[in-house]
Amino acid sequence: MMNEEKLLTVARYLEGDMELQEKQEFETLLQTDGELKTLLAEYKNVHQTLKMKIAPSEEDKEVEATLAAFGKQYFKNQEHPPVKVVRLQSYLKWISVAAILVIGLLVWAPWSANLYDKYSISKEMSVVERGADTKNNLEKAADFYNAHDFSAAREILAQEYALSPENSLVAYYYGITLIETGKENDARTILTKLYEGESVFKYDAAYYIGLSFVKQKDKQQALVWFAKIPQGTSNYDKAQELIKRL
Amino acid sequence: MAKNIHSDQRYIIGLVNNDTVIINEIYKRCAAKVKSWIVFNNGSDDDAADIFQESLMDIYKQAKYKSLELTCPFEPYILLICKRKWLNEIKKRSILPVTNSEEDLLHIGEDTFANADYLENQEAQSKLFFKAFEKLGERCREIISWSMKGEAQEKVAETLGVTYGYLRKKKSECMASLIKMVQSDKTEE
Repeated sequence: MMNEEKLLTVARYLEGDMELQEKQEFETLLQTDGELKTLLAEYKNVHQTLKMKIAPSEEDKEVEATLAAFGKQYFKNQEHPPVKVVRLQSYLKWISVAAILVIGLLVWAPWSANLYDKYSISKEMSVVERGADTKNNLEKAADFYNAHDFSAAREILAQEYALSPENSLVAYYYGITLIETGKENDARTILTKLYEGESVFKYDAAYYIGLSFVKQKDKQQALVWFAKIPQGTSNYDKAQELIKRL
Repeated sequence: MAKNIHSDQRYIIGLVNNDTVIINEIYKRCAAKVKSWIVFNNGSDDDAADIFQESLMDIYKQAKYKSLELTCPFEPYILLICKRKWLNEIKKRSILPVTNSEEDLLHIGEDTFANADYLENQEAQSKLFFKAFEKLGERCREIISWSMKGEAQEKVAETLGVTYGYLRKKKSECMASLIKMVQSDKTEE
C-alpha cells in the first residue's frame, strides 16, 4: 500500500468506517506493519490535540469557570473576601509529623499496637468556605470531625450524603466517620462505590476500606484492599508498609 | 516520557475532576508566588491571574485528552510554565523583562524542565495541527469539528444535511487529508 492508501485505511479504522471482517484484517496487518503502527499513533495524536482545541466539552468549561473563580479570589486584592479553609491545623504538617512518627515506630518500637490509628491518613477534614458569616453544614461537620467528635460529624454527613450521594468529598468523610463509630460494613458500602468511581478520592477510599478491615482484625481482606493501591499514588508507601506488617 | 509518576499527579487528577478542594490547594500554594513574580516583571494582577489560569488549563487539557503524566513535583513545574508563558507575552508586547530568562531557576531539577518542555512542545504541535486544519475545505472542517464534539453520528449527519453513509466516508477522507497535510508541513520545516 502507498502511504496515502494506508492513511485512509487508518482513518477508516479509527473513525469506525469498517465492517467487522475488514477491521479484523486491519488488526492482523497492524501486528506486523511498523509503518502502519506509526501512522495510527500519529493519527491519534493529531485527533486528540485538535479535539481539545476545536471541540471543548462542557466539563472543560466548568473547570475553566472554577479556575476563574479562584483566580478572582487569589489574584485580586480587596474586591473579594479571601477564601478561608476550615481546619484546625496544617494538614501537610501533620502528614509529615505522622510519617516521621510512623517511620520512627517501625524502626524503633515494633510492638503491635493499634495500626488503624497509626495509619489513618485523613485526620482532618477541610472544606472551602466562601467568606460567609454563617457556617454551612459541611463546615459544621468539619469542625466536629477535626475535634474528633465523629458521631456528631457522622450525623451531619449522613444528611448531606442523602442529599447529594454523588459528592465525593461528602461520601469519603462520611465513610470515615462510619468506620470511626464502629459501622465498618456501612462504611465499606459507601467507600466501595467511591472506589469504583473516578473521583480524586478513589484510592483514598480503597485505603480506608483496607484500614476498616485492619480495625476489625481481618488481615486477609485488608491485604486485598491495600494491594489495589497503585504505585505513584499518595498512599502507596503506607499501603506497602501495612502489607509488610500484616 | 519515562513512567515514574510523581505523587503530585494527584493535583493533575484533581484538576481533571474539577475538584475544588484540590484546586483551592493549588491556588493557595502557588498563586502568591506567580503573582509576585509577574508583578515584579512589569505585569498586573490581571496578567498574573490570566497566565496562571491559562497554564492550568493547558495542563488540564493535556491530562484529560492525552493522559499527561507528571514525573516531577507540581509546584516548580507550574511556576516554570507560568514564567515561560509570561516571558513570551512580554516579548509580544515588547515590555522589557526585569528578571533575565531562567537564571533565577537554576535550582529547579532537570525533570521539571523536561516536563515543562514537553508541555511547550505539545502546545507548539497543537498550533501546527490547527494551521493544517484551517487549510482544509469548509465542508471538511465542518464535518471534523462536528464529529469531535461527540454528538451521535446520525445527529451530525442530519445537522449537516447529508446521509449517514456519506458522513462516515467523508469524515475518514477529511481526516486522512488532514494528517497528510500535517506530514507535509513537517517535511517542509
